[in-house]
Amino acid sequence: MHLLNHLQALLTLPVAVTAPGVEQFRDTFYPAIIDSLKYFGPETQVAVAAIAILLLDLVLPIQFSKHLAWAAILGCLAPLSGIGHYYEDSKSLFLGMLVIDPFANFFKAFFLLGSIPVIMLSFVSRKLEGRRMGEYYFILLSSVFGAMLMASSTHFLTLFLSLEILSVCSYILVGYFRTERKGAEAALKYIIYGSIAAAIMGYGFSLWYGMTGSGEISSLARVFWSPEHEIYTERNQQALAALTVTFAFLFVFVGFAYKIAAIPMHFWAPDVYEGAPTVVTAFLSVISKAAGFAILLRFLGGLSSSVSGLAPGDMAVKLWAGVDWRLILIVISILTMTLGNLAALWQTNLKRLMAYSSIAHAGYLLMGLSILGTATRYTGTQTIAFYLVAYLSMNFGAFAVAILVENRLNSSELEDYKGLGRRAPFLAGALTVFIFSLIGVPPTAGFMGKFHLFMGIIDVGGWPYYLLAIAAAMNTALSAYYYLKIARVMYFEKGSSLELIQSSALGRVVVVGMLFLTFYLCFCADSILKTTLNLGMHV
Amino acid sequence: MTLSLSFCLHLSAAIFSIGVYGVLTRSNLIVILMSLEIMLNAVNLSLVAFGRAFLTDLTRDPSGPQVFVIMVLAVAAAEAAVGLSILLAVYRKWRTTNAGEIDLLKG
Amino acid sequence: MTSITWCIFLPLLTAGVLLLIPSSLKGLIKTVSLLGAFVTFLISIGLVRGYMLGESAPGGADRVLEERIERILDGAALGPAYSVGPQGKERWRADFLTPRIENGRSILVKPTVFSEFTPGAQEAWEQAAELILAKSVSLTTHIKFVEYLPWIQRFKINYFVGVDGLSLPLVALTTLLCVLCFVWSWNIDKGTKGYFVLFLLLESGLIGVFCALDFFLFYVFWEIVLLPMYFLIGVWGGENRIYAAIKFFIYTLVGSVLMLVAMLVMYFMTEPHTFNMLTLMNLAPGFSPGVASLLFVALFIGFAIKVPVFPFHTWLPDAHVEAPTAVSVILAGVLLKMGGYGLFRISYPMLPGTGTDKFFIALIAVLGMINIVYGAFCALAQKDFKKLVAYSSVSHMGYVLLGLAALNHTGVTGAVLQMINHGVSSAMLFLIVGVVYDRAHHRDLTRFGGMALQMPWYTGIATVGFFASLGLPGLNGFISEFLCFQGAFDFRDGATGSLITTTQGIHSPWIVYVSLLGIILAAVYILWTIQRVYLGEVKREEYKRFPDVSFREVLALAPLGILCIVLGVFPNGLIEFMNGSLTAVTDLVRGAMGN
Repeated sequence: MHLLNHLQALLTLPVAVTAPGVEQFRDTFYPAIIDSLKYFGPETQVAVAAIAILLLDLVLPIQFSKHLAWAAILGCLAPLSGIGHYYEDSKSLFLGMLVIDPFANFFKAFFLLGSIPVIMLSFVSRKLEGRRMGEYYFILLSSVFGAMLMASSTHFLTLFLSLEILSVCSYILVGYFRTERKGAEAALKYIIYGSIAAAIMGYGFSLWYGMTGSGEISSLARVFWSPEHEIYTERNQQALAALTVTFAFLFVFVGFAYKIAAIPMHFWAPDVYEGAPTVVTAFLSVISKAAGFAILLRFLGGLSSSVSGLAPGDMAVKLWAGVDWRLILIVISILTMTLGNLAALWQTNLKRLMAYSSIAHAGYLLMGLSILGTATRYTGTQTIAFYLVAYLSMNFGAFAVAILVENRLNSSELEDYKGLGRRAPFLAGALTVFIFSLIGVPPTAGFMGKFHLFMGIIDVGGWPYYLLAIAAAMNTALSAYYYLKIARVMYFEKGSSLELIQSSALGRVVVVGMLFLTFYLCFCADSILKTTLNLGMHV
Repeated sequence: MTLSLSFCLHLSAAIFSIGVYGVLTRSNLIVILMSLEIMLNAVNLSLVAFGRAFLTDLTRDPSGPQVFVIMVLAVAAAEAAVGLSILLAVYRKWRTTNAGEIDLLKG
Repeated sequence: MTSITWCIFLPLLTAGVLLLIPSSLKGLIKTVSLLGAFVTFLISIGLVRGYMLGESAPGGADRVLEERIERILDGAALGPAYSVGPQGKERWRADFLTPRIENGRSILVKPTVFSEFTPGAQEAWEQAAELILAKSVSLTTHIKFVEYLPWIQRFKINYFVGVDGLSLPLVALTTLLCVLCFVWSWNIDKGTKGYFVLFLLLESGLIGVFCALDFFLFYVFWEIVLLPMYFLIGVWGGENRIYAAIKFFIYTLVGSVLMLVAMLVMYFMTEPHTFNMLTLMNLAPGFSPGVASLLFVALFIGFAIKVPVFPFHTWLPDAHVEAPTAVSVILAGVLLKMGGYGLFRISYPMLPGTGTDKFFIALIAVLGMINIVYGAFCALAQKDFKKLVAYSSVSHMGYVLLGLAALNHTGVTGAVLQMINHGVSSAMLFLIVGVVYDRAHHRDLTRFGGMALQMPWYTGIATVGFFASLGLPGLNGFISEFLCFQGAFDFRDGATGSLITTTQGIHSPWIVYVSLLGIILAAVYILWTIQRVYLGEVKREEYKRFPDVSFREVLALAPLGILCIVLGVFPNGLIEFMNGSLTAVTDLVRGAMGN
């Protein structure tokens, strides 16, 4: 009987009003979608390039297969013109699913330009030699496609979908050498942890969705800012709602934390970084992490941002029991950097060490997130954007050296780096620069990035932030120990062999490029700072 | 008897917890993958429930959660496909599906 | 490019040239580096001579800053009411940029109509205000050879360098010691190119630290010094070099990151935000006492590790023992001075309220006392020749703290003089150790003896160095130690300006009495060392084959010996040279004491 009533209620509902009819589709949706396609050019180009590479590989003889790298590089360069053309535009696409704004464009350009060194390193990587490379570059470009979508998503749906595009592609890349035990194990761990994170995040999204009634990120701000807390609950149980909001926040954060390798979803990183092909490790540590931060900025920006029409810093967003979500981020930041640095102290494998270092750097970057929405001169978005560029330069540099060394020695154990200072003076010298940049010693990009982050948190002030600053300062000193271990092994200890290590020209080009960027970002920081200047206004 | 929103949400939370429990305690990788699917289904259930509830609320758009469900299904399928193929690769090298025995990477 | 920029970057430029030379041409590498260092030295001497012109010395800070202010105001649209001719600009300046004097500090408050300014005018006001506040510090008139270029405008970071009577002697000391070190390092054959490149980088960093007038720039140079030092100890050091190198690096890094945090807090607490050290000297004294003491502690730890002050000193003996001779010379001669210089240039002038706080005066004086006595006792207990010299450095740097804590003109002059004298004499001592180590390949004091018979010239030179370090009247050490003690007899309470007596917690003369023990102990360990190494029988057959000092060694040692004597007999020249700047610094600090 009740069921029948329900059905009747269903039938009498004004469904036609809420659900779009054919006319509505023709008159509003269709033109909107067609109009959006114009701005969707960069993504389309990457997708077309990816598919073209896959098809091209079918007809190419195997010895030319590796030269698909050039097509992939072209696929990364071509969309840049479109991005540059619409760089300053700010427009919602596909009925509020995606957005195009300087923030998204900056990150898209970052992913595309950052993928070029990855492709070049794939080209020189000896491990990938003699294989059919079509599907490799196809998957690589698909992950870039996912990352680009992540930067411009403004809806839970696209957020979830783009994150999964990147994730699923990364799983395959990590297990690309499926015949190697380590590779297969790494991929397995990656996908299991990744799926757990995705499921938890999905659950969080469903709770958000239910509470806000809309999937748009900007609706989050409405939930928080509106005076009556228009959260959807059956009997408007406010206290319960606050608790649900907190859980939803934490669940969703878990999904993002997984992408950036922050506590509590950090434990996959060491195993995956060690087991994956080194090129892929480099990709994960920079591009994938940056994409995670782009999406986190968008999401947390939605909690606090000017979208709501309120001046930032007016009110602190409170979760359950009146906790400011920034406080949670501060705690996570301190824990992440400390754990990463402590665990790195005992590592003997360069890739594994870099994994823990990457966890620690996620902790530093979280410093920038923890100041989102506070009224400061140096917004969290800017500090993170700058740090990510700096991180790209030093991390890709370090991995480039690791790949070039691995090509000859077939190992990334620190043991085998003994005497590298004599065997490969250029590579060892470059790696030293990158190490000092990772520590954060001037005059390098890493220093400038860290300085910028410190500026951000100290500008906000208050004891939690001062505590964070002290913790980060101490962590910097702590991290020096294991980074210097690399320098120590290369220069202070004698290796068993004195044979010179040759490296390919293209590999050297990447290293030189990263060296240049590392110094450029310190001496000419102004230019990048200007680029990141107005990013903060859009999230 | 009606299926109230809160009943659906409680059920979804319970299913989700079962999934989490399975992931955390089971050592067989296939069971772990199954538990993951259970978790994703809990997500779907809660989305569907919300979508149903929005039907009676004119300020909400009921189609959103339902489209989301379809996307989650697609993602689950992709993850399962990749996950099973990776599992297969692992099984070929290790001859086991016991998570505890696959431990080359640690430290 | 002004001469001071050349002075800072010429070593770096030389290092760049070295990178282009194939590493097999060792002779050429050494020659080029020596040449580079020597030209740098000549430039620094030129700076000293130029500085002696006084008022008319080129690049006076007040003039350069004034030009800069004018240029900022010229470039900005100041608003319709002020757009007519040069008078408009002057009127704008008079209306909005006239500082108010309060408790000896100049203060500029944002004009009430600030929000009505155009963005360009707002920016111009912020920039000009910073410089006007810098100009109003009395120290500014003593700063010469200034170069001011914008670097990272977004953070208001500038390439702002210049020298005054406090920093210029240290710059000259650095360049001189580097030349001598390059002469000394002529026998380096392992990784020659890397060694000289790193050494030149080190020199650039050191000169930069002393010349920087922008806090950020100071920090950058401060950190740049770390890197080459780490490698110089780690690659060319002794047996336990890896441990020593990493210990040195981490200790110093801990200090410097604390300094970084303190620097940023200062930046954000000042209005307008600034890294300009001169502006900070004007604005930072206005901080509340609580914040100021926290900042002071953070900065003090950073500098204390470098000095090194008692609980933070453990890296020093390790680093010295393992470092190659020339690196030890720079480490003792210049690196330790960075800490002292930081206290004089940053901690005290910027946070005078805390510096003159009774508790901190007592703390620093007591730490100085501990350094002097504890360092001397440790030196007494050493069997390793180099470790003995290292601990004597700890002891001698204690005098710097003691003189500094006194906060009167005598004490401060003594402290700065002590830094320079210690730079000369400890450098000499490390070279002296190097001479005998190069021959005997060990540094065990108990196994030496009778060097005087075997190497009379060497013994003669060494005696000068030892006696200078001991504080014999007529040599340089005596004057500065005497001045430190004389100043320290006169501690004054920050609040009342009266002598601190027992009833107020600490009886200053006792600190001096205990510290005087250091002089006696220094005499003991130095005379004992002379006895053990130079006097008596030649203990081993192999020692009889030792040649006397070579030409290269004399070339490195003689200038230092001569300096020891010259500075001991005519200290007045140097004291007069520094007088203006030191008076200005002391006045800045004592201004906060209200007397």
